[in-house]
Amino acid sequence: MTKNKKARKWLFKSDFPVGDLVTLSAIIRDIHKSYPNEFITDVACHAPEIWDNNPYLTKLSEQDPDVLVIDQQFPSVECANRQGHHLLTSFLSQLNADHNLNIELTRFHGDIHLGPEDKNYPATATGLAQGTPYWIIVSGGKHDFTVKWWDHNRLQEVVDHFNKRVIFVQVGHLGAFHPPLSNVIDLRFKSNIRELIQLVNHAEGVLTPISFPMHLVNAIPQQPGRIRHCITIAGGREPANFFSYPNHQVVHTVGSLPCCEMSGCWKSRTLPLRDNHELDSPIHLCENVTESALPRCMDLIKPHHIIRIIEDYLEGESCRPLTSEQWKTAKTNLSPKFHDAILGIIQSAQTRVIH
Amino acid sequence: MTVSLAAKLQEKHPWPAELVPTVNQWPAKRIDHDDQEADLIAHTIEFFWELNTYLSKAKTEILSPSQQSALQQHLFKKTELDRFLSRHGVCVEPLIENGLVTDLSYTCPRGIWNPLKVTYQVEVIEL
Repeated sequence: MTKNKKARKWLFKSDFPVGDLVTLSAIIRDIHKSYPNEFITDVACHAPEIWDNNPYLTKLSEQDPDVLVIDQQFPSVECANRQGHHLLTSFLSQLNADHNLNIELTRFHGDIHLGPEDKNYPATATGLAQGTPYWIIVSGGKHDFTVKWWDHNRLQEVVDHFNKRVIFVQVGHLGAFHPPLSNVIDLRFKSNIRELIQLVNHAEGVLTPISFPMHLVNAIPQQPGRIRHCITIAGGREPANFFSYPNHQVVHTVGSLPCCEMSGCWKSRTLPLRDNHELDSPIHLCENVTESALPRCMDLIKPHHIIRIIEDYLEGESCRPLTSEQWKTAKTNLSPKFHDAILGIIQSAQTRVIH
Repeated sequence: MTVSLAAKLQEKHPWPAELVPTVNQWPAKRIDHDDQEADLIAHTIEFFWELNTYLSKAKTEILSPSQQSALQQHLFKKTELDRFLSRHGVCVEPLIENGLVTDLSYTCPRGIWNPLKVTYQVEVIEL
């Protein structure tokens, strides 16, 4: 920047869901990479923890007349379906076009910066021995896009298949639909955003619908020589080009059904929830729901599809299985099956009655 | 017309007189009488109420083989209940303390609500 040129002050305002905020962090990073010292940037959003330790933010005030407030809009469906854009490139091209800039995407992922605490292995939270490999698992999601949910009973089959070989840590935020899984370490409703970042940072991989943790997998810096995996169970709502990252395995069914033959259907809800939300209107509802109340595009996805991918990671040695010592420690922290828990209570009550 | 959940459940499962004061401590959430959520909650209460009858009995007597079998059958209904609730974006999880269901965590599209915070502390119930 020439000495007499004043740095531009940009304040991004966004009410995006947290996952999409992660992609916005890539844009902020690359504004500075493409135009060093020419911008002062800040973000006003509902999840400031995303930006902890981020070197590209400087506090800006909306009231400052020099500040340009950018109300970041979600890209159109056309961007994804017809132009083949990713969410990242959609944001970028929109910004470049609006402001006559040439910001280049330097890395194809968001930009999360770790603090010292994020770097510590989450032994206390998980109850696992230091260094034990684990996967993050997400069994549901927010109530706005219920078409993203898979059947948690099928997810349970995946968990059970990997008994003694892979430990899953279940996460999910309070207020959302996250049905409990058994034989997992249950950290649902117990982690804030930074704690989730810490959990993902040390995970072997993430098994999830299209979600915030999916974006975190690549946005969190990876240690050299280690790969963090992601398996996204996606169905037919969105084309994979829009949300996936190069090393992710996306299990999608776009192209398999008439309702998502050419691209994503972009529907929101499987069934109406009668909560007075606009997404309950017929245009947002899935048109192809099975008797078991799954979108047919999600119903086409079976546990063995997911199992095969993790088996491949294990066979290819790109993800670590548990050692028998690690399993011994881990198994004491696993959530019980409801059925077994009740029978255990009955049994112990009966023993007391006898004595 | 609105009806309090407490009143609805009191009608469905009359509470012993000594518990009525605690029933009145239920959160003041009110739901439409014909609201489908009332049915969801009723189904849920029904299931856990019945489960508590088994758990209560098991504390004081040896369950007969037929009672044990009925309990097993009842537990199988949990999958059905979960499926029913998940159709409506509802997730219910029991809190079990001292061998009884003492609370339910109830997450629905309208937010989080623990309808049984006080009332399921029912160890004293004679069923």
